[in-house]
Amino acid sequence: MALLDRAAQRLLERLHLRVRPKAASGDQGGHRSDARAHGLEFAERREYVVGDDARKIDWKAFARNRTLSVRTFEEERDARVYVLVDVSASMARGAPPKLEVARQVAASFGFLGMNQVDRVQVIPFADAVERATPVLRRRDDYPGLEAFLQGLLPHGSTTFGATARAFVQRFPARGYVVVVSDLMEAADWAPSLRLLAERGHQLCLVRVRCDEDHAPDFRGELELRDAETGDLVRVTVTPALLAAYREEVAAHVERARIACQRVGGRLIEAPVERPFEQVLRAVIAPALEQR
Amino acid sequence: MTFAALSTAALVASALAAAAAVVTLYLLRRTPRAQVVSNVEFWRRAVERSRPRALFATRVPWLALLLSLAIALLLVTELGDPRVGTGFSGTTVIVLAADRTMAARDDRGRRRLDDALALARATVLADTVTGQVAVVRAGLRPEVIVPLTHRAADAERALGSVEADDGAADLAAAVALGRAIVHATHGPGRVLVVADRDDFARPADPAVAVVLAPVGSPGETLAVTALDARRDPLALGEYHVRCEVRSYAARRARARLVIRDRDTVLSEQRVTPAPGEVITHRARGFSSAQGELSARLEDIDLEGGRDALAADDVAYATVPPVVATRVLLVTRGDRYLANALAANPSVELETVDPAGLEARRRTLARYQVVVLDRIAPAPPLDHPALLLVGAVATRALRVGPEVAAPRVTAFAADHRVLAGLRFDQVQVSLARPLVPEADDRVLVRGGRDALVIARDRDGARTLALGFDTEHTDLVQRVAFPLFMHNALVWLDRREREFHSWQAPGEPIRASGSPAVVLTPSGAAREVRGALYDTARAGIYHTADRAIAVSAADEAGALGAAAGSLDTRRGAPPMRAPLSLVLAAAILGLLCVEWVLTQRGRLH
Repeated sequence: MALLDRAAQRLLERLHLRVRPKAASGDQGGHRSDARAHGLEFAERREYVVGDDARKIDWKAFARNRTLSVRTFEEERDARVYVLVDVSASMARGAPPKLEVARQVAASFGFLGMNQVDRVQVIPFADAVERATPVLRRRDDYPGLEAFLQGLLPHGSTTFGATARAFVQRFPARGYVVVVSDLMEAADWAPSLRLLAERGHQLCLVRVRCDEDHAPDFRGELELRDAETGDLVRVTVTPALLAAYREEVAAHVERARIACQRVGGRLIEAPVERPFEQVLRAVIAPALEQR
Repeated sequence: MTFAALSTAALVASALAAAAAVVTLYLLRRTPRAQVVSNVEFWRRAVERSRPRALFATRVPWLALLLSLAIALLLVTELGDPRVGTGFSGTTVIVLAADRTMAARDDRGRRRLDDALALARATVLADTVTGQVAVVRAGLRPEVIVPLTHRAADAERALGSVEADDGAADLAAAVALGRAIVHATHGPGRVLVVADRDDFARPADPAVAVVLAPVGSPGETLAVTALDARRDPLALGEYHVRCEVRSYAARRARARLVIRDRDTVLSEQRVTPAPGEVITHRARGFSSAQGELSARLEDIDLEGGRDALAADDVAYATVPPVVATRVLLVTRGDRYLANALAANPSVELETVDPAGLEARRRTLARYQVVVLDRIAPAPPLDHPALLLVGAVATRALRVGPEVAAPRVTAFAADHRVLAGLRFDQVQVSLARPLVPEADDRVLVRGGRDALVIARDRDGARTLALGFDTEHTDLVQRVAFPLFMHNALVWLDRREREFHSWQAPGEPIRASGSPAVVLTPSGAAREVRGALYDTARAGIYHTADRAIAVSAADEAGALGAAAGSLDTRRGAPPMRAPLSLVLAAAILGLLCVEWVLTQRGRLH
């Protein structure tokens, strides 16, 4: 079964993944960049300094102002889109499983990137960065991406800090980083998000959530087993404990949201209980630009 | 050491069993439901976050736990009754005297029974540590009130309800019962007799020691030792009363002796017996259809002392009701017999000649007694009470040849028929000796000849005279009406009516099934056949008669008190309220915990 049906693809074709200039790098492409080169978009006029290419002197301005100046242009470059997909064991929870929705989210961003001829790479991670897809640039590469995503299986435990550090080492080129995860790692995600931002990446954090994580409705004496580590905790679930748990998870997500916003990124929530098309239209699409 | 009346070995076994039970319960414990979650760390933080921070909330679980443990410890202690001490190693059977002298009070008003119970309790507490104890109540009948037990609490409950009977204790039987209990255990044992007297037999049995624990001190008492009443056979409805008062005091006593028939005072007089003196008071001329008598000593003054025993200050008796006896006299004409029977106010007499007897054969059951004067009907009469005067030989009664002027050489004065009579002066001019059979009683004998015999066989009674009224001077003597009266009483089986009282413990027979007997306290007891619980003195009533149960005899003396012993130590405290308090505390604690749990204060 395809991760994205035709309707989803048509919707995505109308969307644009806008990459900030600072995050754009690599070969010439369709995104503005900070590089001043032989682009088409006029950037600014400045005084001539020794060493400037004499061919770029604006002689008309010299005629008007009697000062030598040169015209600079922005270089348009293509962007790199990195989709980090959390494949830890906790992603198997939920109905449907969170990993299934994460595959669809990753496919959506990959489709977007390939649709605007960006360099797309999908990188699964759990406690470390795993084997990533090759760079995908064309729509023709989409079936390969979908096959890759379908082959992901939940395993291991989430360690986003180590994942972020490994990622910046293995993928030095700046780009648009989409992290698709359930955020169900209790450690603070803010340092890792800052690390990614400091390396010039533009961040988009997609939280795939299920009610079991977000607002569980447990009752009585329970022996809770961690889906990732197997740790056991015996609790007597009371209304007070449930409220405390919800507050704890909400605070964790809020910290991630704030960290994301501080580095210019955003956090999108994708509940698994809603049909993905609704999620795509109501949550993901508004966060992107319309063409 | 004992705990819950268990020996050390039993305690160890119980502990092992409890450990096995705990392990089993642990293995079978209710396991919490398993639930997989994405990350338990958030739950850990939530538990930590929801944990109460307030001092009250954080301390309550520990305080509650400590309090619960303390209460549980107290409860186990209460139930287990742990005791450490030394007592008799083996079986101890306590024989507790509970006769009426045990109700005697000392100068401080304390009963001997109270001392005996205190001593019994102390013995139970000591001996159940190292052995087992049984308690036999020696009242009118020996009764095991505490079977062999290691638990002092069992004995405590039984001893709390012991009261003294109004009669005399059968200590010998109680001791024998105690020895039998010890023998049945096949181990070492002893019988501890807690009594105020030492007049019971101690069998020489080396295996079971019989030890007396004396209680009480010698006391002084003035007692009614006899009260009897009987009908006057010559005066219909009248009766005589005889009352005996005895002083067991060491000083002169004064009292009022009041004899009542129900609430009517028949006699009241002051008595002042000297130490050891017996005063007999007789009164006559009272009339009543059925008397219910009581003789009571009131306002007793022992010259500074006090009357130790109240139970012997009263005695009871009844006067039998006037019951008419229907008699059929079959005679060819005998004015002595007819007049003697007609003069008896309690006799309804009918006289017929032998020819008229045939017409009355079918209605013979109407008569209590049939008198045959020198005749032998054929076929013989089938009647349970026959008086044969001038007996004629029949198949049932053999008669010898005539004997002229037999001399009376012996008579059975103890027989009811001859009660109060002497026959040694009676002259008989002609007689036909009777031939007694094996179970016949010869009442009057003239040499080897039986002149009068009494037969009680197969539910029928026959009194046969070997002479008739024409050949004896008996009919001319004043005793003849009394002889006839006695004969009718015996033949009619009414001799028990002359028992004006019976001793406590003797059963009261009541006709009807079930029958209702009213006790002296006014309680109605439904019985079948007889009421056996007659330990209390007083007047009992059945549907048709009144029965006096009285302990008036010399057993009421206190002079034989065995001695004194201070037994006030060792009385265990009452325990029941503590259990209730503990139960209430646990219930309250559970409620508090429940409330705190519901309010999220406890987890």
